[in-house]
Amino acid sequence: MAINEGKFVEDLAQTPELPPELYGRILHGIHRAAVIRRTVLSTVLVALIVSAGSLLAVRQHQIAQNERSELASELESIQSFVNGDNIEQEYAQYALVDYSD
Amino acid sequence: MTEIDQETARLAGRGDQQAFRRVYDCYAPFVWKVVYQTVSRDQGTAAEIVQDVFVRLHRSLKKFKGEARLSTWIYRIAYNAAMTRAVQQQKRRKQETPLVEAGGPAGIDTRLADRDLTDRILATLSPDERFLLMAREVNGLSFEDVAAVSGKSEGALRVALHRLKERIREEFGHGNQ
Repeated sequence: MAINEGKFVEDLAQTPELPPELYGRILHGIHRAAVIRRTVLSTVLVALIVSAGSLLAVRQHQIAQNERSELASELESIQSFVNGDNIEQEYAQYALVDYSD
Repeated sequence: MTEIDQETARLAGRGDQQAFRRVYDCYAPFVWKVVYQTVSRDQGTAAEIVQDVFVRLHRSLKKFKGEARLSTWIYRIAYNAAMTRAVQQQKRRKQETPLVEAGGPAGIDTRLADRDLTDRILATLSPDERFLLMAREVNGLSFEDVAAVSGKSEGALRVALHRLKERIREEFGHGNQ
């Protein structure tokens, strides 16, 4: 029994040498991992910048549209006044008109 | 287990290549042994795992604060990586015939028969049992060290090893006289 156990342990202990090319492969793996990390970070950053830029552009467009509507309305009032229309009288007049007839 | 000095570990964590090489030279031989012995003694798989361990280590070294021994920390990473792969292998592999007949087939070289017997015994063990057996019987680690690496209690490891050896003796003890 003792001899068998001894041989068994002796056999278990047989391990091939650490492959000499393994360190080179590890350095390659480290470099690859670093490249992947940088690429992912850059992609996320670009996506964030593009999203922020798009949101800003949309918001500015909305603001510009609102300003144009207000301006158009103001210009219309001015034009009516210049044409001799009494805007306030017309508002009052049309408010009293009964269109149900 | 051998230890590297804290300064080298700190430099390696900060990306110093020479320091990292010293860390590798210090710990890789033992990591290689543990991984090779735990994953059914397959060189290709062991090399992949060791590569993965040290690539991860290179990234994690800066986070190591010295609260435990560096060797324990590294071997723990290796142990976890080896266990994961060994369990995957076990699930894929079919059940092998575990027992060898008394005396063995005639004309076969005794050394080859011994090696065959060893492989058959190992095939019946779980990855945890293989690791425990190798760590204690082959690599001479203390139960304290094995407990630190595997995360199991010393008491549980002692009982497990005792039962494991008994089981091997019962199943294979009379072969290859």
